[in-house]
Amino acid sequence: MAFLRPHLTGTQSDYIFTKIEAIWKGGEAWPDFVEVMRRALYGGQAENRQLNSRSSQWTWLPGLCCQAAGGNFYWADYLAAAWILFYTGAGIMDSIEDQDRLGVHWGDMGPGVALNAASGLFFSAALALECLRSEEDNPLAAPEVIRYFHQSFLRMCSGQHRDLLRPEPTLEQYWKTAAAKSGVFFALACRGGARLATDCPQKLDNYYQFGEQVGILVQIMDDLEEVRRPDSELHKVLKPDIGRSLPVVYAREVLPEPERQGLRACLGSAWQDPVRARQALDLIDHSGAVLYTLTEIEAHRERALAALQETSPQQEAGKLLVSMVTELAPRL
Amino acid sequence: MALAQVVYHISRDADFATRMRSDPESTLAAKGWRLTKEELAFLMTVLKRETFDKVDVEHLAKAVATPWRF
Repeated sequence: MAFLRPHLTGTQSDYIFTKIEAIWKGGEAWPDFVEVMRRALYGGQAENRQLNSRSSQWTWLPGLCCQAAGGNFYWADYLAAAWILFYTGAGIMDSIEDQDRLGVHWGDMGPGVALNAASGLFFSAALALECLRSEEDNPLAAPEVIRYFHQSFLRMCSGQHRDLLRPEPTLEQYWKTAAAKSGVFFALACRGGARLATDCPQKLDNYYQFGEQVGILVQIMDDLEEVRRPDSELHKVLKPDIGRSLPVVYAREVLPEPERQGLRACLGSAWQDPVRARQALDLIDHSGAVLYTLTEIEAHRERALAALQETSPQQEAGKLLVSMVTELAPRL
Repeated sequence: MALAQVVYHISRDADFATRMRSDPESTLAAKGWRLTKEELAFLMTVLKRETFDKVDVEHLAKAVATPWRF
C-alpha cells in the first residue's frame, strides 16, 4: 500500500497479533482449536500469521485515532485486538447466514466447526477487552469503551437482522443498513480509540462521524466488488449477492417499472448466464448508476475528511488517516 | 431520495443534463426538485469531471472495488 510508512509497516499489526496469541495461550484454548481460530483470522495467510496488506491497515485505525486525539498509539492495542476478533467472528456468522461458500482455508470442516470458531473468537474478543480494562494507561476510559464496544455490536446485529429480512432493500433502507453495520463498526474503532485519549464530547462525536463515513465508503467499495465480473470470457457472470449492492439498489429505485422488471429477470439468472449478466449491467449503466455511485463516494469521502479535520488531529496520525481515506476512495 | 431522481434524469435526458451543468439551481427549480447545498456541490464536482461519463459500472468496479474482510 502506498500510504504505509516505514515505522508502521507490519510491526504494529504484528504486535496486536502477538497479543491475540497470548490471549489464546492464557485462555487455555486447545492447540487444534487455536489453529482453527487462527485460520479464520488470517485466512489464507495462517502459516505466516499475517493479514494481507489491504486488511492490516485497518487494524491501525483504533491506534491512529487514539494518537490523533492526543494519546499513545499503543494504548488502543487491546481495543484493536477485540475489534478484529469480534469482526472475524461476525464475518463467519454472516457468511453462514447468507449461505455463502466458506473460504477455502476452511477445507471440508463445514459450518458447525466455523460457527464454533466464531464463538471462540467472540470470547477471545471479550478477553481482549478485559485486558484493556486492566491496562494502567486508561483506567477511567476503559469501562466506557467496553460498554460502547458491546452497544455497537448490538446495533450491528440489529442492522444485520433487517438486512437478512430484506432481499431487495430500497435506497433509503440501504443507507440505513450501511450506517448501522459497516458505519457503526468503523465508528467503534475511531471513537473508541479516540476515547482512550480524550473525553471531549465534540471531538468524540467527530471521530464517530469520521469512522461512520469511512465505514460507509468501505461498504460501497465492497458492493462494487459484487459488480466486478471475472476476466475470463467464458465465465463472465455476476455474483448472486449483487441484488443488495448499491448500483443495483439505485437502479431498482429509479428505473421505470418495465425496466425494473427486466433488471429483476436478468439478475435472477445473471449468476450463471453471461448474456443475462451483460443485459443486467447494461440496464444498471443506463440508469445512471455510475454517476450516482461516484457522487456518493465523493460525499462520504469529503464528509469523512471534514469530520477528521474538525478534531484538529495530531499531525502524523492525521496524515495517515487522511491517506487511508483517499487510498480507499480516490478522486476519479 | 431526490439525488437519485436527479441523477436518473441527467442520465436519460440530454437537455436536462446540459442545463444542469450550466445552471443547476434554476434547472432543479423548474422541475420543482430540491437538493441540499451539499448534495448539489458533490454532484456538480463529479459532473464537472470529464471521466465519469466514459466509465461504465463494470469499469468503475475494476478501478475501485475493494472486497472487505480482515
